Amino acid sequence: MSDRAPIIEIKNIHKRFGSVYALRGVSAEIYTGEVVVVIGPSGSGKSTLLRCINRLEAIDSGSIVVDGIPISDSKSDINRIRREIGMVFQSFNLFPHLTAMENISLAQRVVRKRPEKEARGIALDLLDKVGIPEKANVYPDKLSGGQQQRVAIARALAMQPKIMLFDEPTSALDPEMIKEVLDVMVGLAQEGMTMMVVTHEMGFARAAAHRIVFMDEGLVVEENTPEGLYENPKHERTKLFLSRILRH
Amino acid sequence: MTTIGLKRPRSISDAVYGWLNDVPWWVTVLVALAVILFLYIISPANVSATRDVPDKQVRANGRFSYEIRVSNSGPAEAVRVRLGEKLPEGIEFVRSEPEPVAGEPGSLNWEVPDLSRGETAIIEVTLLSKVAVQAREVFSPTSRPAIEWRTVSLDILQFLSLGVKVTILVTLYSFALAVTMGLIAGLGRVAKPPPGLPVIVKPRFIAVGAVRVAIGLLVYFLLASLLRTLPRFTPGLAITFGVILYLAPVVLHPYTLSTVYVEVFRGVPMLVQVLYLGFVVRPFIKVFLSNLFGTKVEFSEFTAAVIGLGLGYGAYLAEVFRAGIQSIHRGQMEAARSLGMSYAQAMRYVILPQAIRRVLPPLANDSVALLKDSSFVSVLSVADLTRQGRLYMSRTYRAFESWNMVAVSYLILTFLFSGVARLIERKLSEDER
Repeated sequence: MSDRAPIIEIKNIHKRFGSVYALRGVSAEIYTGEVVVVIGPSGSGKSTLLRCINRLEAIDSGSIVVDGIPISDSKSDINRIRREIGMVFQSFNLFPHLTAMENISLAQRVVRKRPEKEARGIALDLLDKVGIPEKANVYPDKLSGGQQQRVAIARALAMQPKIMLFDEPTSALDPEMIKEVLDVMVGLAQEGMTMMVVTHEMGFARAAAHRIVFMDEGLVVEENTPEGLYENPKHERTKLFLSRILRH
Repeated sequence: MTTIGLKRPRSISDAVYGWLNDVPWWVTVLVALAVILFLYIISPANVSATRDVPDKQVRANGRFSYEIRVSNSGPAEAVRVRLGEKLPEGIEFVRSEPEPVAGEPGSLNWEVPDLSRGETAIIEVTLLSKVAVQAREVFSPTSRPAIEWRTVSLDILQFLSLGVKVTILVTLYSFALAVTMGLIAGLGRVAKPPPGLPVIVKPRFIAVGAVRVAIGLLVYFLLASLLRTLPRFTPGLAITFGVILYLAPVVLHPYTLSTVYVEVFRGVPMLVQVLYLGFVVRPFIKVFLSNLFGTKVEFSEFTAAVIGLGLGYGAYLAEVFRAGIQSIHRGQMEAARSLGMSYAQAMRYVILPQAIRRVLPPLANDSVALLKDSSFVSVLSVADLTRQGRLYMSRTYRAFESWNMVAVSYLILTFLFSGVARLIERKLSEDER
């Protein structure tokens, strides 16, 4: 963890969906190389927070600065910023008309303007890294959920982002596939990738996270190291939540 | 994949076309060709000519009369029946009823009136023989008068073949235009809508709008003074242009433009659109462009008809494309955008390839509907099937034959188009397995 300026700086952001108040003044800082896990009950605004960071949702007020560039400013080139922020979705969102290899190489060619050959080379390396090199020419509907999510991670990594955002990457997976995805994520964390992960996988949080942020009703209630939060939660709400998810 | 037992048809068309799923495509084509061939074969009339020579002795330089009977044994009607008779040595022509027409020298030629089935025409010929002869022996018993004819149905096939060609051309051209317009308007329809009209009184809008109007009018003023052929810069024109320029962000927005296009063209009957293009837009553009360029500009009825049909169907296809694009899960767009692709790149590489696959079956269906609606272009005197059929009817007064053949021709064409549509659907469902 460096003590330089944070790579993501979130200041007092608000977001409303009609009558639903999703974020009511969230502030957070994430430093280069840090792995931050966001937990909280459903509807607490953790996914919205993540989606605001690459402007999949526009914020109503406040500011988000990523790598020195203000996200909420309409003058900044959002496509340029998004290249630096990889995102992994709960429902994978692989492109079903493309093979695993093409899924990974498409954005490289179109956005990074890499030649076809180079893009395919990088795609193969990444498929190797996530452990499914033999699935390069397979279409997503022939892959298991865990394999699809690993291709999705490879797809995001292919852009060589500075930050990776994971929006509940294992929530849609069968239990036995969760491990293969988490292994890839832990490996990524060990390489020093800056990561922000919305998840309920406490094992992953314990193994890889530097910090855990607990959110409820659109606010950051508490943040601490995994050990600090698990063993010594300060707020009643945190205690209640942890007691529910850690009971089993 | 093998299916055991009978598949239950999902609809009547499925029952009718179901067999198409089980036969190769070329069988479909062969069957269609066989139908055409069958119609061709059963159609001709059968005309024959016989002589009826009296049994009598003719003196030298004596005259004798005989009859040529031309009869049609059907089934179709014979038209343009021409009869030829070659006279043997020593025999001369005297007169005949009806009179012969000019033809090859040394032979007699007659034009026989049209013969419907079972009808017989009789030509009475009087000849002169230089030598004494038995009348029956003048012509050899095996010879027959030469006869040629056209059958009505064969004739109508030739007549309609132009119509078929034009109908197919009109359909293909206007379908290409419709798909282009539909895709463009469909993309416009899924674009983020412009701000509502109240925005036009906001200070920022007024400031930017005023500058836009000033620059726009100045440019037009300069252009109009340089290019004499442009309409003069009048107050009315200035106000129109000014209003459009001021409202440009709202009115010239892709969403507004495509919505207006779709609503207008879906709300006006296809026939009226074709008439409008042919009789309002075509003359206007001809005059306008001719004045602008100083030379005569060609703008055929065919072009007007294709544009009318194409724009009309484009409005329907726009909604097909819109539905197709919107049916793609929004996660696809989010994933593409999160990789740094622009909206246009995400559309082109991620959304459209999926959406177009999804809309191909309804598109193929609409091509069949367009083929049928192409009959509207006949009102612009474009020589399509309907027009040719009508023309044939007004020449021959044979409504039954004319419209029968027109209807059957359309049926064959739509049958072929539906076959293609089925093939596309089958191919897609095979891919998705």
